[in-house]
Amino acid sequence: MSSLAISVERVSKVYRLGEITRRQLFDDVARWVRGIARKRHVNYRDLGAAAEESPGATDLFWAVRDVSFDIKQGESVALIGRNGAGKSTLLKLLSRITAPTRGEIRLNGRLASMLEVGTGFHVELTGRDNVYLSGTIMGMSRHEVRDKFDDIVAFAGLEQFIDTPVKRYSSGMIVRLAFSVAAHLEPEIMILDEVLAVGDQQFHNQCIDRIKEIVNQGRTILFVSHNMSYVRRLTQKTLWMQKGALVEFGPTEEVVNRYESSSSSVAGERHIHDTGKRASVLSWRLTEGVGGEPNILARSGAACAFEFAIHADEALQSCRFGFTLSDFDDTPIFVATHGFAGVPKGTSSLVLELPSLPLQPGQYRLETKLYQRHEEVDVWHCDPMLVVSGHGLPPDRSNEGLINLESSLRMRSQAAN
Amino acid sequence: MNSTAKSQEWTAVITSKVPLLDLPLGELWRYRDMIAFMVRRDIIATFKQTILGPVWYIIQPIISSVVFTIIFSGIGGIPTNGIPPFLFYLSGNLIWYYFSACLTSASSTFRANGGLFTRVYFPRLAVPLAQSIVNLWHFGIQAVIFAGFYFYFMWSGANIAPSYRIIVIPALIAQCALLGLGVGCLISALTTRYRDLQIAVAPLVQLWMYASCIFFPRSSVPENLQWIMNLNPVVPIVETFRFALMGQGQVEIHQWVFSLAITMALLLLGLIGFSRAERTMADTI
Repeated sequence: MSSLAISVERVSKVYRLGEITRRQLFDDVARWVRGIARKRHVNYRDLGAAAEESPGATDLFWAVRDVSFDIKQGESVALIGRNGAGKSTLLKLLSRITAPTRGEIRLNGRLASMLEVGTGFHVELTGRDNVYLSGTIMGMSRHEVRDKFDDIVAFAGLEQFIDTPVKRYSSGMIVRLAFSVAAHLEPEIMILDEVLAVGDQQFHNQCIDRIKEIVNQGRTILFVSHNMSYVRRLTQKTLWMQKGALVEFGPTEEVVNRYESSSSSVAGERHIHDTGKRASVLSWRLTEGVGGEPNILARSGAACAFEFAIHADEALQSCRFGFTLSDFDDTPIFVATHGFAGVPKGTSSLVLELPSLPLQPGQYRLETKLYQRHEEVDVWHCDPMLVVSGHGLPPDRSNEGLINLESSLRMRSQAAN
Repeated sequence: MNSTAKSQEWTAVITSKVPLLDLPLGELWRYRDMIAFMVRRDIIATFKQTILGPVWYIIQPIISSVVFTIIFSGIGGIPTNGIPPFLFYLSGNLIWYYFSACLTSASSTFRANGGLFTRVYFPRLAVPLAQSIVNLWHFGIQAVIFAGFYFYFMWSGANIAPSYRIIVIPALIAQCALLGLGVGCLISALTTRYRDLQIAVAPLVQLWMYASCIFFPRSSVPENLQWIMNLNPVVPIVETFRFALMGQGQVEIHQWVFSLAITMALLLLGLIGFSRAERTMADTI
């Protein structure tokens, strides 16, 4: 099983920014003339050469630069990075939508991507015709589509409407049918995008379950997601990209922890003059964490204490402090409200302690509220977010579910009856 | 890593190196079902919610043939070599429409399918190929109507008779498709970068039509302008088409061979341009 499914070797992609105008033609000619002047053959359409030739050129942009990695057959790998990191470009290169400027990509097996659903749908055709059209566009043969047809329709829940023109469908129905076609492709290498799991909550869960199923079938998967809890659950290894370059490629848990701490700590400090309030919470950190500066990385299952720095223009009496911890999708997990005597004028700090933090590894949102009597003085969606690491957890501990509690199983003795 | 990567078998290698001509025949064959469904889509979808449907393909050439008959034959007095003028123009229109439809639809390949091409990979050449099959369907409808008029004129005593020569017609149609595909692909490749050409296609096709013996027989062209007829690969196709159908026209084998050579050269050029453009069209479209 050690043979490779994907091998990417020193791949780069240069884009030309801005519109193609008459100027572009002049620039092309100018680069070509410069090449002749230096007695070197420069292909004026080779953007890579053009970008190396004039590194200061503002109209040329390295979307992906010198990226190399290998993915073995059967591995499921996550691709993470913030917007503009070059993830989409890399996927476009892998799925042969655009050619690399430099380097080489080798693929072993059929590759299909679920990047964009509904490719090739035509509104005048019936659902049935569209399933066949879209399926064959994505590389299936007519027979493969026919074999899967009933599953595809059942998954989308559109048995009744399959012979109705798609233009009579609601947008939700179209998306469901489109996702369903893509989800039933059976290539050796699959590119998945979590953003695709669309529609209502029920269909969303159905999509995620289907993605899990595909992962468990032992196919080679490249999974793109901004949701680190899915990444942790579904993949073994993670590729982290930033500004077109590969930052790290390794086991998911390690890479994702570092990614989350780094993406959280780049966030700005809150300043007094930004809030314009009598009193406000300016920053937060963990009094004892696992690491990172500022300290925002907690360990799953361990005790932790949050320290909040407060600045007040005037002293406040009979205050209350509200604390909400939510998951990435903003669902509150834990809410606490504590009354306290008051806030002195100037800078002070409050500490909120939890004897244990039984959360699954991932990123969590914090929110603080400061009240004087019943009047709201300050609300802050804390920035950076809290990162919980799975470091030190027993390896067999399930990372499904929202929280992470100690549990044990024993057989009750028959004698009790 | 390199040793394993090199020793392994790969199903696809994507590089920055540009082969001069990348003709993915094997891939096109694997995607034959897709081509079939694209053809089906275009045939079904074009005339959904129209009353006359495919009848439109018949009305168009009949109307222009009537107009040509009145203007060029009736008013202009241009000879048609003994062929009934209406049949002369209808046959010219028939073959010209197929050629120009292949050219025009191929020339908008990248522009019309930009959304699809930036989302999913398949051999791009499948799209103009599917289009020329769709156009062949339209040609078939028009050919049936032509046959109707043909037998009507024959029955009413015109000097025409079908002969064994009609066996060359499939070859002429194939040549039309290849020539239209070649020129269309070339234009399509250029339009990914410079859109001006897209606007220029319609007037260029119009001009080409005037130079293609649709309105007049080649024999009526003055000697000093015959060189244009020689350069235009469509002229021998049209003339041979009329000759095969109605036994009238100027056909010399060396002219057709030359026209075939031009067709192949343009096809090659078009395919080269197309295979270069498909690699980067997603960035510029």
